[in-house]
Amino acid sequence: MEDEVPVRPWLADPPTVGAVLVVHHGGRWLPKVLASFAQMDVAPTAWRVVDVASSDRGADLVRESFGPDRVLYAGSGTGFGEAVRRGIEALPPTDWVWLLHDDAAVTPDTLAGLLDEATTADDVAVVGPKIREWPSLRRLLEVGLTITSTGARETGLETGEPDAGQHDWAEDVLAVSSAGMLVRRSVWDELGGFDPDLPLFFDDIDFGWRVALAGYRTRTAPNGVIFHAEASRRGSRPRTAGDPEPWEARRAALHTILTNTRGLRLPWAALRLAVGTLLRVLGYLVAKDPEAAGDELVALREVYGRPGRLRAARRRKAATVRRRHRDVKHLLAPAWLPYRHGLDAIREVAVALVRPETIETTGRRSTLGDTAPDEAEDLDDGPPLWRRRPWLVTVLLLVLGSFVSAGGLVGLGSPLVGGALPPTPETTGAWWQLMVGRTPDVGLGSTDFPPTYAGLLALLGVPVWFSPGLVVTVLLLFCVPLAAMTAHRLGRLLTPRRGPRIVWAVGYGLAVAATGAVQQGRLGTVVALVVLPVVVNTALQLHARPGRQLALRLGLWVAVAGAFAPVVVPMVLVALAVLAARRLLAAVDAAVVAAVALVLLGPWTVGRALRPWRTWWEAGYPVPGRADALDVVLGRAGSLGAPAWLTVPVIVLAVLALLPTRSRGTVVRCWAVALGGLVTAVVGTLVTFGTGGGARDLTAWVAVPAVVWFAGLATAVLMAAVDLDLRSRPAAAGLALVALVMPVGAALWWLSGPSGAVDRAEPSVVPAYLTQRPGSTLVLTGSLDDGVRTRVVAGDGPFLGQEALEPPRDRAEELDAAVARLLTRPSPDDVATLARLGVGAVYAPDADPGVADRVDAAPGVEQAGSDRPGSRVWTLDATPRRPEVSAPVWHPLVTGLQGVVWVVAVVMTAPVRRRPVVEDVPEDVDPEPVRIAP
Amino acid sequence: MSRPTRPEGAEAPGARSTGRRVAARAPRRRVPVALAVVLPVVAALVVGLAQLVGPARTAATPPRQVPLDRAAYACPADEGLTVAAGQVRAGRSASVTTPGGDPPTGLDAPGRWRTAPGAGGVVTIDQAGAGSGPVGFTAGRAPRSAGRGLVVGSCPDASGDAWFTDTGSGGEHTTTLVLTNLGDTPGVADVRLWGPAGPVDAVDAKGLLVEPRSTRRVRLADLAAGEPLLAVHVERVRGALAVSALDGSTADSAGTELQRSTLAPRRQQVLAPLPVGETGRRLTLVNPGDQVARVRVRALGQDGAFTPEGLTALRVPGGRVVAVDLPQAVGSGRVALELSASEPVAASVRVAPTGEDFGTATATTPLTGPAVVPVALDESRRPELVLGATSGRAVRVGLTAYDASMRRVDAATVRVAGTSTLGVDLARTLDLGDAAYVVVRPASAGVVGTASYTDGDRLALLPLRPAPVTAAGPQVRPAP
Repeated sequence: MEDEVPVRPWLADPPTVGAVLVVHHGGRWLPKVLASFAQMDVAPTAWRVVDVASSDRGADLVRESFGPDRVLYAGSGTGFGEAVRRGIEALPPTDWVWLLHDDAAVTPDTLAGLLDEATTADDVAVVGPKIREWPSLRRLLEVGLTITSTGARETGLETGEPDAGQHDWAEDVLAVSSAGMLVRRSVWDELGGFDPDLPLFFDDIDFGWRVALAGYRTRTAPNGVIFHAEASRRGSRPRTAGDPEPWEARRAALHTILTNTRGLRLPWAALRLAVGTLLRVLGYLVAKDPEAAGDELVALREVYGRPGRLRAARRRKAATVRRRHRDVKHLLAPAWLPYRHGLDAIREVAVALVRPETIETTGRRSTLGDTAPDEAEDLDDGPPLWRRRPWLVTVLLLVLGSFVSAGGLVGLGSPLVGGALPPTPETTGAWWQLMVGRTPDVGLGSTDFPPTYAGLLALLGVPVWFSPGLVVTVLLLFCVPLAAMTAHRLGRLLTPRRGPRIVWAVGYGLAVAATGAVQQGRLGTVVALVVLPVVVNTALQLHARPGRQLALRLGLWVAVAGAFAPVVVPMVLVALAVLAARRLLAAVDAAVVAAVALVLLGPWTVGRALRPWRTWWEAGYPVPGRADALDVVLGRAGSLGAPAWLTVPVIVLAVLALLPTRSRGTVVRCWAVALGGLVTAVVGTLVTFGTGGGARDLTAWVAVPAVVWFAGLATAVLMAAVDLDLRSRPAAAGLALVALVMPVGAALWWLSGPSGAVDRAEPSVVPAYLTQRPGSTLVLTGSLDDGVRTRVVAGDGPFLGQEALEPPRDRAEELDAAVARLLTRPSPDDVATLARLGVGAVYAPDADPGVADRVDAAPGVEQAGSDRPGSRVWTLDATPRRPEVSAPVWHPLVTGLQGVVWVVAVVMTAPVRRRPVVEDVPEDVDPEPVRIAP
Repeated sequence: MSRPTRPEGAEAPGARSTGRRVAARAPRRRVPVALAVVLPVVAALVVGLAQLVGPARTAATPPRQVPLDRAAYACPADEGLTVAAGQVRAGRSASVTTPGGDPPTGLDAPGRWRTAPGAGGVVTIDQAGAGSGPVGFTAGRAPRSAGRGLVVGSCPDASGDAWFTDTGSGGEHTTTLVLTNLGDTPGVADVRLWGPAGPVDAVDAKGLLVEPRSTRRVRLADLAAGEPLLAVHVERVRGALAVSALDGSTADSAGTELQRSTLAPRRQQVLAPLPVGETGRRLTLVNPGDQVARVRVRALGQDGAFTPEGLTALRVPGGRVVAVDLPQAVGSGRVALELSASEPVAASVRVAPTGEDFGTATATTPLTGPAVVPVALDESRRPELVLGATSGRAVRVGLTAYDASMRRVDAATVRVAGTSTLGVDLARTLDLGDAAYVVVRPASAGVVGTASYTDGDRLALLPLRPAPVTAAGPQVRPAP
């Protein structure tokens, strides 16, 4: 620094500086602070210390350092401003006053740097130092201050911004922190010092604002540096009676704005702050920070409830105003700044809500990283990444594998469609519209409640509003890493052994894909199977730590899985009953779980989740599954899956897993879960179900319970392997090889990129030109001999979620009867019936000659051009009538209520934020007393 | 159980994990191995039982009888013929039109059996009413130019293509196709012809246009002249076309018949039963395909089924018409012919016992509902009913006579033995009195029938068809 010693003309006639140090329970910092005072190159000419009721050793320290003459004592509850006032009154007359905190250390030339700037002009009334963080010393805290229109203290710095000299030029600012503030004594006296209504917070900003309005300038002095622990703001200062309450900060902000805003801007500012505060209350409640929300309300009451105090303060301050608002406007924060902060806050809330459990429970861990704290270090050398963070590498490989497996299906543009999967809508707004509307734009109209999963998709789709297909793409095509991740997280509860756990988790992820669910577009299966490990995980936690919050969370996750695959609900209900009966779960907790899940699912519960056999209809079209009991045993539900024999080794090992005595109890429980899945799936293969709209005789797709069966067996193997020392027994090593057959085989199958019904394509349910015509299109499939299937689609067909809305039974039956007559002995009446039901065209994608003949013969039907060979299109001469079907008015209310219940449940499940409790830090034992020269 | 010592390389559980590894906790009690082994056994039992029961499968949805509430038909109403209209149950409304002319009066009462003299042209009747089953007939004696034969034919509706196997365009055997468009949109039909020597090239036989609500008569001679024996396929391309064939012969064997379509080519079919009479029975078959069809004929006689010698392996080359006189082995009794072919064929039998007139028995599907038989088209013409049971089981058939006001006159039940035919003289079985028509109701499926009308040497055969109360249609349901 010596080569940068500035020229200091003021040294010839140094101005006098009186320093005031306010001490309040600062024993933790004072030893270092006092030591820094003793080493100043340019020191204040006079000192006064005001001790505000310190009960720690700080009082002794300052007495020893300054001697009893220079220390004043103030009672508890004395504000900073008041303490400073007393200190200044006790000072001899000086040109400048320097305010110091007990948690701010100075450098030898801090004061000199401040005086450099203070002496540049006569209208400079206040100079503030560059404040760095203590103890990091490198991070910038403040280089000048201002306030936003919403009452936020604004430094203009990034959080944790390191000091690299980027702010090292002096400039005019609205205010500087009171820590290290150098004030011209005359101005201090003129303005009456800090506002007595601001005992701790915002006193500096308020003062700076008044200085500016009085026509003086506040400057930053980057050459003066202090290190500030910001003990009060961070709450690290031990609290004692009489200290300002936390809500004081917000009250001070409101008070500062409302007393310094002049003229006609005041009513607007008052209204805006009131409304803004209420919004913040709401935000804090959603983010589960009830204390902060309470503070906001108290602050609002304290400010708006005492107008007399406001008026008095305004009158007092008005006396010194010599400038108009527009003269100081440039010093205030720009108008857009609060909104950026608002966005940041929303982002924070969102992060808090979706934050994976891992972070919540284990601090810095992320879902990807499976690192113990010791593994996080030594990034540069040591073992390769796959040994240090094998799970992270595995997940990355699975993600990579997903890209390979999906091939051309990954991407944007056209939505994924095919099999059971309808296309996604063009924007997420369509999902919201589906949730709140009463007249969905579906073929024959519908009075059904919107499906619960559409609500969840609407929520998930908000960040990708104009490309909601991303949600489905990620869920469907990346189901293997997703399922493996949730399984691995569950696995950490099950076993400490990393190797088997990773194999097990990857095996589970691949088992989800091996069902062929992706190829068939079974989104419901995929989501339910991704979520199920979380359900089990939460259930295990609930078993270990009974409590309402965990029960609520379990119910929430069951509802998520049940919304996509309703069959989960009866399975879980039975499991809860068994667990409660065996006293593995408290009966009350089990009841809470069941009730929460059913309430969250709302009308879905009645429509699907508890309707016998219709529970098998998952999200998407109820495309029949084709599985018999043997398929189920091998963890399959029909065609398009991986080779079924891959599962055989797991079954064999699971039977062997029953042999080791030590782990048998756990293994038996895994088997019990597996049997539950097996029985459910087998029952599914024996039944058929029908939909409300009339489709019937549908066989079930039983992949969800089939995978539960497989996962139960795999877990049994895992639990037995935990107690087996593989290295000591060659035979056991052989068993481990057998256990690898399924994951390796399934992975090879998966990587080969099996194709299926799902494709990335524009929805082509009907020829494009028909979507432009009025009325809906009747799509006919099948043949006269084997039966004809009807589907009435509006526009270019239903999007994901709409397919669950079924036409009113009477309209569907009327349509089918009319079509049956049309395809038997066509008459004008039948065509008129179709038009009355809103049908404007008939489309047969693979026209059966018999069907085509009969429609040809129908009066009032014209042949039209078709878009591809083998298909036929007819248009109706009659004008189709719009289906006047709408759900009852109370439906959206129920759906809205359901949405509120979801929000409440999520909020109640999220961890509550509490103020950190200040731990008593042991103080240094008997520090050497520092003597400050007079 | 003590916690296993942590193997090397396994990660440290960490302070936070302690107490959370709940599932791995030691079980409280040792589980006996016997109990553990029960679990796989239970799984095996569950699966075994399920395999025994078998997985649920989606049931087939074959065609079924679709209830109809409206039907329209077209009756050729040349001069000298009488149009009769009736129904199984009183209808709601009926509209009568004659394309290009005034409709005859008295045919629009949907609750009565009504008749009206033909005045040329075609009478179309469109009758509505659930379960009404409206039917129409044309009866009378054809003029000399058309063969002077007795005509009793049922009026065709607009369902499906039309097939005729015994028509002609020369050699004094002339056939006229009567195409009536019952709809409001243009109708288009293609006509294909086959002769004994193979497919016959026809002139202007493609895209025959029939304007809405109009009739077009097509003489086969205009399409392909000089063919004494032709098989015809009228392929309906578009529109609601009703097709019948007015078949007349002025040769040695004269006569007239108003034919309705026989069944489209198929491998299994039963022809309407034939009345008594050994001579002049000719079976005509057409094979529209490319492969040779081998046809085996089984006769359902009065005493049961038999396979007549000479008809065990008829050979019908692809694209040809083959006519076979029924051999003596068929006998002279009432008989229904059952055909089994290796390739789809269409067939009919012409019966010309005297040479003065002939009748045609087409292939029909067994009755699926009530059929109407007119019995008072002329006082002298009380028809004989020939019923055949196609299955091995005997079938009871209810016969109910009604007068023109649809009042029941008399009823009887007859029993047709399995795989045999039965002649029923309606005038003897029922006290017909002033009955206008008889409704034939088989108690179960598998009955075919013919009403045989005679007037001296004149003969007309009316194969029984179910009234359109229901019709075979597809099972329709929403797509999953």
